[in-house]
Amino acid sequence: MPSSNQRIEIIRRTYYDSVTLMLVAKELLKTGGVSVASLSMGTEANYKIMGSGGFDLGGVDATPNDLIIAVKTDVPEGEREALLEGALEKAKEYLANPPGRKADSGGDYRPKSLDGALSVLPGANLALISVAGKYAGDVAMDCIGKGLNVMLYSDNVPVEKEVEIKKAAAEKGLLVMGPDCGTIIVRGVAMGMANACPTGPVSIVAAAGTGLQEVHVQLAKRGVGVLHGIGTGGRDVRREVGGIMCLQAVNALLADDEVKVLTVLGKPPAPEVEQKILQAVKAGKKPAVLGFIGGEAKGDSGGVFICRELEETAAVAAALAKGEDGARARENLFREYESLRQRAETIGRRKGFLRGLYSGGTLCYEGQLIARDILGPIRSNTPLEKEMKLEDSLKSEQHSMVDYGEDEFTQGRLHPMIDVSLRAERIYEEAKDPEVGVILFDVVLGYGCNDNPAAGLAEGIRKAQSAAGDRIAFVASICGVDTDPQNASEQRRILEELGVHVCESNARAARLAAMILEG
Amino acid sequence: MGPRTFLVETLPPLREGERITVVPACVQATYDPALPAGKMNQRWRGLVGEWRDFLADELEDLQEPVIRRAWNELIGLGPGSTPAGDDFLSGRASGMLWQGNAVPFHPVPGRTTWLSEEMLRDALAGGIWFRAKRLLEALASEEPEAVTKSAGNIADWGHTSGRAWLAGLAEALCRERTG
Amino acid sequence: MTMSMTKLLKEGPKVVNIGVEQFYADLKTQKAEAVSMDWKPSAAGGDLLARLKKLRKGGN
Repeated sequence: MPSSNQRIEIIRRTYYDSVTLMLVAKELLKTGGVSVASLSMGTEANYKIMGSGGFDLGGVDATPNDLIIAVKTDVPEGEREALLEGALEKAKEYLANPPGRKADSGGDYRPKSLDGALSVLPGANLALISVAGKYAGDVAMDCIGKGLNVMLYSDNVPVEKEVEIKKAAAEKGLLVMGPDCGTIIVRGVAMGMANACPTGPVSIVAAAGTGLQEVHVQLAKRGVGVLHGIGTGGRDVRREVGGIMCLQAVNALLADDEVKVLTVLGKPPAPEVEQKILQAVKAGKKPAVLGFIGGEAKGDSGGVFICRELEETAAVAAALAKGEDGARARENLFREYESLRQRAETIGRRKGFLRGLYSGGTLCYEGQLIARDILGPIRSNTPLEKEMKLEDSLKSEQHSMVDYGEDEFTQGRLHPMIDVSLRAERIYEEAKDPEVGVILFDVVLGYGCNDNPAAGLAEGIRKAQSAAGDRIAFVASICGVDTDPQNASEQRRILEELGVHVCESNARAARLAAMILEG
Repeated sequence: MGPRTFLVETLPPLREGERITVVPACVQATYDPALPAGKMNQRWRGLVGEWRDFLADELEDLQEPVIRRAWNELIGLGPGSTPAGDDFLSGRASGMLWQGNAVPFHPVPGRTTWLSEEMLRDALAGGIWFRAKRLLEALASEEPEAVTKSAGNIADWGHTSGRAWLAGLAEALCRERTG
Repeated sequence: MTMSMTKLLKEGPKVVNIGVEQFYADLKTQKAEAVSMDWKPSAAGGDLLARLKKLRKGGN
């Protein structure tokens, strides 16, 4: 019987944080002969992903509390056994002593209890919670009990828990940002995944993580700084939660004399929530821009502008911050967009389908909105319409845009802004499809994100180009600035050297990508 | 403590009853015969309380005797040249003496290694190793960095020794005042 | 009522990080005040640990 080219081992009832697992996998891949290495908790999502990554998981009965170590080799049959055995041993060694952990506290004692932590930092005013969703709610309640505001980065927190937490917090005048809030800026300090931009007169309330990042970055590119960027998590503005935190934040910022222009962002909220926001903002007597992505974008009145795209929102807010005409700024922007057609001509039209691979949910959503206007219906795992939902997120159909930040990719795994390997691999997969004409992707920079996403994605792009030659045009946007740890210009250079067409915003990239295939 | 660890590491195995003379020169002492002045700053109570939870996983076996306050049962309990039970008792002794309390405990001899017995004897006499002294000084201060650094230093010590010692210290410092 | 939230906006963040260690490192890079917890879900533990915890509750 031929010896297997894969080995799978399960470590029962164990807890390793995802960063460690990613670092160990990375290290294993450096071993000669190891072609694929995967360390993941046994969640349903990971079973699927590992399956599509070529592992045969038949007979593997791991639970989400078990760790699956899977290695594959491409060495000849005679050498397989020894190599795979060695790789598994190495994996276990590395797990005990994770290689290259950047975030080492250097031997300092880290408190294990909230009381312990508060004895070290008695002036603490914010808890940043990123533990697994099933625990995060209770941790948040404990923190609120101690008088801390909460940034709940964790997702998979049940909506009933969310409401409980937010009501408890509201009673104490505390802010709860999240669940699923990935980006916060307070007095210019970035928390979670956020960019290093200057502070200034604009503040943002966002029910959309990458939406906040994109607007933050677009404002910085226009020379306008942001003092506070308060995320509320995507569910806050829906009916069941009622916009509790969004309104609390909006009112606090409207009353704050350091805030000159207020921006509110997100997908269109539930109608009653939208009404409350409009009311608050109109009573606030400050210039305000409401960026309801994919909404109607009409009803500008007084100093309140209503937009439907992210760069548009930033362009209008920047104009207001500078005392300029918001409407004119918007017109100018859309005129610039028209000139993207020339760029599409220069690049050369392509035939076939658009495949968008996103790490940012709001960017994927905005991308679909824009591409749909030019190309027609777009399929997605987070579609604009139910009927456009992809049956299998791992298999594109016709024009497709996939959000890699969705649950099926992130359960028990690192977020795609930290671990770019899945998307890099998918770029190659898409290129093998002879009907694909354009591949579009975002590169999100900032704290908390991968330290060199362009390089990671480049691996996939190179393989894709070997497979597809000139058939496919690659289009990308970089959500970041030069002062980010990754340096946007550096990232841009890496991509442009590969012939990727880099755009200044997601809105431009989505338009350009669609225009290349138009007609 | 320091000189004797060195001996354990460098001497060949000896027969019981064999007499030897050792003349140590240029050996660094790592313990101090004097506990620091001062008392624990109550600010750190929450942090110190956490160290009682170190009695889990490999130190699980210490839990029962600790709950029953059966101190003699801890002697020699656990592996290593200084078994974890002895480390716990040393930490507890240091904690109690530091707070100005007597330690009404007379260890039954012969239940543990020679080295560990010596260590325990030193602790009961008010001796303390340097890194532990730094922790106590930090606990009497208002400096969070001093506390986390020195605590981290001890928690990393040996395989379980440091954590067992901290658990004993916590037992002494966080005990309620009942009869 | 909104005093606690306003304090955060005026003082800047002083953070207790619970979870991903990278977030703590990023805060220190930005010179923000922060402490990072070594958080683990509480183990199932079994009888003995539960008894110890019960005893502790009385003593603290």
